[in-house]
Amino acid sequence: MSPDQRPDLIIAEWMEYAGGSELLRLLASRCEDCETRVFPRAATCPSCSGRNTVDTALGPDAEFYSFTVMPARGDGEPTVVGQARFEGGAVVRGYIDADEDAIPSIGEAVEVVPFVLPAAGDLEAATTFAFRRKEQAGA
Amino acid sequence: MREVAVIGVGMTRFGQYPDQPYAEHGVEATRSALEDAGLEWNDIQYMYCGAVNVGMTPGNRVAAELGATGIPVVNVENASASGSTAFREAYFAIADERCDIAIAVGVGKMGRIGGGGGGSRAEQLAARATGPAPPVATFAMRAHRWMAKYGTDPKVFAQVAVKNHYHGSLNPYAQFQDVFTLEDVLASRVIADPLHMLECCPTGDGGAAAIVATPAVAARLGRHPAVRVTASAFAGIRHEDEPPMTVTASRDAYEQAGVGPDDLDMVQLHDAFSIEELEYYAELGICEPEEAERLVIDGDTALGGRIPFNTDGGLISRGHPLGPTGLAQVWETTLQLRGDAGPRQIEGANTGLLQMIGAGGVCLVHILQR
Repeated sequence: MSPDQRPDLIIAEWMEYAGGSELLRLLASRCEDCETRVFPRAATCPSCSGRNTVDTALGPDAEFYSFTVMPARGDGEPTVVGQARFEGGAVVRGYIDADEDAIPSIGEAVEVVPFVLPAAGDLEAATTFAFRRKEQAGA
Repeated sequence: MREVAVIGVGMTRFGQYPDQPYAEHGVEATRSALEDAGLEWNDIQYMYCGAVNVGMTPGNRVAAELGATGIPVVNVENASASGSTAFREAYFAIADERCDIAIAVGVGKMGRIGGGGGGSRAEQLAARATGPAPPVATFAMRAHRWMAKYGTDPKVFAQVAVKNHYHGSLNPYAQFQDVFTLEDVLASRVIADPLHMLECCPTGDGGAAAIVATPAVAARLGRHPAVRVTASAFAGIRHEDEPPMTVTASRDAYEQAGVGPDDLDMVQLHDAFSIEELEYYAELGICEPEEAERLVIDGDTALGGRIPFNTDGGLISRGHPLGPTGLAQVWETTLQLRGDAGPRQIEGANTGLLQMIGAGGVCLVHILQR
């Protein structure tokens, strides 16, 4: 899907395009007292309980942290979800933009990319984020 | 603080009972515990009820069917750890001299699970934005992380399920009572790779109860060998769970009881998914993480092994209705310490550890000793 056909970001406060339309950054908070990063943004640090948090962004680069594949039930597609670890230590969960036989290896470099969720029932199509093997980005 | 003894235990067979009200499970378990203790309902001075998915004030409803004796009833909900939390509160009711005899009852009706989330539009959007997140997916991702870190073959996780299903086959109160081979487990449907259906706890309904009292009451009744509660520890989750809350709670429990991992004769723990056993072997200090798979492969944690885990089948086989699950652990450990566990009996068992995790970030560890 071309960028201009892509639906709106599902939660605008969670992500922004990074230098174009093929990569995303996640909008997070950084604690100025203990350096903990947290996504999505939070006024209170979950690590030290401090309230001295400032806006920051995570990615687009990250390290692939883990994953699972949940087989389809019925006629649907398998669901591939995983986690990525960002500079500063935050681990974020999300979709993986890969077929189930091409999932990145744990520890491999990934990037945060737009990922279109199709309309389903009462839900409109929307764009969220996913993790994709870095060398595939922009392919 | 006063010493505390377990003087009566009871439970129902966990399973799917769509037509049976949850209160009946609580009443049946309570009556069983009263009979085990040699007490009447009128003897109970304080009640704590751990319950999930059954609506408001479930303990009061159970108590009403047993007789409105006017005792205080406190309801607690802590997901999987609800029953363990009720047991801890009953323990403190005795230890803190609030009363001399208290009961912890657990009920759960997960056959109609479906709630759990807040369900606001913001929560629905957040869930859609990050993908499906059932508990099994979280533990499956932990399994992959473990495999990458320690090189463990996922067949070892499946072997945990083989072990626990075998233990459950010896427990007449277990939801599953079938023996499954490694091939059976690996042939069962994948729920979330690498976890198969037979490596995941079933949903189900049931009740369990434990009566605690002062040692003086236990001595007066004199029906069973004394089973003492020598530790009750509780840890909440930290950001990124580091150190893991099982580490924090178990260290506290060992200190309270004056024992260490080498003193344990058995452990009951939260094996909602097979991977958890390996993680908790290490977090409880039984072994280093990289040694955990050897305990499974060598049979050290099976009945007859060095330190059997989940001797009643665990959540995977005995079942996991959440509210009563922690009290089923008390039931099993108490029977083992009395020498009444039948074909599951561990010869000469003196010390048992009970660990329970609750979603949202709670971990309770109790130690019972003969």
